[in-house]
Amino acid sequence: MEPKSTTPPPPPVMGAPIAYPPPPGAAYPAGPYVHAPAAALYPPPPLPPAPPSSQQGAAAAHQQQLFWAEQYREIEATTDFKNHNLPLARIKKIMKADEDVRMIAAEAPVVFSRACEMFILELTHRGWAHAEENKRRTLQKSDIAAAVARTEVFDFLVDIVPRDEAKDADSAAMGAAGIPHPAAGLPAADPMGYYYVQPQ
Amino acid sequence: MNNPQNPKASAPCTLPPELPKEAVATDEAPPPMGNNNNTESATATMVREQDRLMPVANVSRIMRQVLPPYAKISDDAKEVIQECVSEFISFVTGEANERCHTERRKTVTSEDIVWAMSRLGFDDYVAPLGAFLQRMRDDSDHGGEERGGPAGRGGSRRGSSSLPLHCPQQMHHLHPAVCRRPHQSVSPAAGYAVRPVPRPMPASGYRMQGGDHRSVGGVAPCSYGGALVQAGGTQHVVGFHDDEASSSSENPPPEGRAAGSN
Repeated sequence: MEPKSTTPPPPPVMGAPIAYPPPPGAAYPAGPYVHAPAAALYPPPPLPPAPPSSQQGAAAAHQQQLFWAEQYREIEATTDFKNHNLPLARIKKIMKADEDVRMIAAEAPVVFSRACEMFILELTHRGWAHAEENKRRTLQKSDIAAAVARTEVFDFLVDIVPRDEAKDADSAAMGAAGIPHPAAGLPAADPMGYYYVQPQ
Repeated sequence: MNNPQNPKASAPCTLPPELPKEAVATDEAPPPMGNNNNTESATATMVREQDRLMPVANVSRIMRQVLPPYAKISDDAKEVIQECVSEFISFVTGEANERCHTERRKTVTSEDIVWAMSRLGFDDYVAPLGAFLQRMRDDSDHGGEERGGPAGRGGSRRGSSSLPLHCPQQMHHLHPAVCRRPHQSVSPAAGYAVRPVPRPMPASGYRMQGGDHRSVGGVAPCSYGGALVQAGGTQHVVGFHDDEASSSSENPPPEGRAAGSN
């Protein structure tokens, strides 16, 4: 490690700092970075083959696509792997809380740091959609509960979010959206449900 | 899909329900600076409870990246997200560790974690994380520093007895990285062909780092958060130039501080 770091290669000529100033919601302009190689190496998830008929569902699906496109853009722009938005030591401690876990590779908490960031962003994004449906500007616990109830991939969180709150939030959300209330909170009525069950 | 998840979901039920509230209360009461002081003087129990969750400041900062400027986040929403993140880490780690046991391995690798996410339904995360991993490995200098830093600190924290165990494992871990270099040599070339900026040296890396801070700052304030975390949680925002100097000269100390605070 140290010998490599002590032998610096010749410094490259740097131009002006690259700026990404697109406003939220607007289409991202084509920047100096071409996304084709990333797409070739790691193809982005395909669009759902059966898009929901409701326009609201289509808008939600479109927002999700923009969300993941933004994730790719941010990863392409990442050049510093030592500054993380989440402390690695704490991630490692949570991993080690499982006594079966013996050794953790040094890269693992770094990958988790990025994954948790995406997880927080996705959960917040879906929760905010619920807050907007209820004409609120404050993200509340019930919004997170609704996001968990609506998304099958978040089923492992049902014990973290109170069921009563999730049920009430889901009922209110379904009522507001004009969708018939599904039995026992099944995600069948979730417009994004088909997206997650599609093989990729 | 629900079947494999249900057994894991039942496991968290064994956790005492009182602990989360106490931990959250502890996290919320002091301000960031106060939190540092409180953490230093906190008892082992408080430290353990705090360590169970991600810091609320970091979580809030990430949440704001995806919310409009006028949006507000209630405290209970922040708390429930903190809980969800810890559960996410435990959930994925458990699945990754099972794969390690199946394959008779002792070390949970980043590939195991990405594999576990795919298996648990987080398919959207696999491709971005794969790209992230490749970018991290292409950046060999930072990768080298990253591997050395945490491993060394982990060894020192556990004591001299764990060093002999950890060093061989580290060597073993480095071997696949060396083997992967021929494969990676193609991707970096393609990356170089696409982007005019070659692989950054430490100094140029810091310049790009500064540039990134400026550019990303315009889009999302996460870089400011990174700077804050790097500075040890201080709320004073220093100029970008100072941030660069600070990061270049104090790369090891921030991790030391993080270890100390934990």
